[in-house]
Amino acid sequence: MVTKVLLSNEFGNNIFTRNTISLFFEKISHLKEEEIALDFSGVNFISRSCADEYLKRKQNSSKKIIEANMSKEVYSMFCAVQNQYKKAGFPISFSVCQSEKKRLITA
Amino acid sequence: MVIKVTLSREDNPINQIKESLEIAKKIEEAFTKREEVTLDFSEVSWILPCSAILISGKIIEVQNQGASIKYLPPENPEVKEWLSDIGFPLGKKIDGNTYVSIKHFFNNPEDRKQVNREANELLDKMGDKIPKEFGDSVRYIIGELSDNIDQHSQFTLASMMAQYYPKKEYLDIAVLDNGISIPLLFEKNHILFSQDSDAILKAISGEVTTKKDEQMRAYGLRSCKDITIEGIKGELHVISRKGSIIVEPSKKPLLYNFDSVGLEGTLLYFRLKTPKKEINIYPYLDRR
Repeated sequence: MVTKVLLSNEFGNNIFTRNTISLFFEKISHLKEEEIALDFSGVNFISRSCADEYLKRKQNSSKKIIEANMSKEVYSMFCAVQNQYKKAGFPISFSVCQSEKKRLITA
Repeated sequence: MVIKVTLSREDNPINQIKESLEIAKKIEEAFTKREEVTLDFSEVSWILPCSAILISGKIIEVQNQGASIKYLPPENPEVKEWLSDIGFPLGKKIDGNTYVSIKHFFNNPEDRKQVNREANELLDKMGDKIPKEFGDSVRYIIGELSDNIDQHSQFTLASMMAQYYPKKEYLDIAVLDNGISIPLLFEKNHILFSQDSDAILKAISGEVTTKKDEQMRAYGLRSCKDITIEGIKGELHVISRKGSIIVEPSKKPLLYNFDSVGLEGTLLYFRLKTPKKEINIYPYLDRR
């Protein structure tokens, strides 16, 4: 069973601080559903720090997390962080930026 | 006790920043002695945004602890009006068409979403006041500075202000916290540096991080600097403890260390020129 979360209700239109991301992942870790769809509708921007924190938390989460309805800006920031990891040679696997189509998928 | 405020009218902001720190120190000393203070700004004819927020931050900090402070505004009508508009000395809720007045907030340790919320409110208020040519640069800078305050500073009071000058075509953003300062944070984490300005230089260069157990840290200030200086051709002033740095395009960073004064905390002040076309910030994030 999938539960859907509208992120703008959690963070507002912009996601700026790592603490809000870590708080959010702590919250969803207690949900009984194993699969969680995060709807980015209404989120205009995510800071680089938060995109980094999100990806680390997602990698370590026991939940299956899927993203949908990312804005171009949010998508660009995740891709920028992904590229930074690649350049630095750090292994981190995530699928947020696998394809342009993926960000438009409605969960 | 009357503190007569005199502020230099020069192109180099260092002198005025130093004078502002001296005023803040006098306010603190008077408060320690439980003296009532009158701040006499009557002869001030020129004040920088970073000076205004520095002094305002100190006023609100001591007032919150019970200090009694009176304020005599400048006789110069333009300066008086500008200070009133931006909410000096205590900050205010009403904003103008081109500015977001000084906003102060005290840390609530139990509210882990507080800084994110305050930054969102600042951005919401700035929204239609700044040209679209700034792209995501302003949100990026506000975002990274907010996260730094939240992650590192251990602040009790933070202050923000922003003003766009349509005729001069630049945007000023100032973010101040009264936390532990960059040099002190480095000392606590055994990061070596020679003088406080050197610590600031290391921080904005992304050379070091205090989060050594985590990968991919130390990007925030460095990328803000790169976007500001290389992308937008703006200026960046950082003051933290006794150190000060001014970074401008095509110039070596100007480092300065104060002798008898310092800032308990960190002030970052950006002057962003309106780009000719919409700026793309993402190439500036692709560096290490």
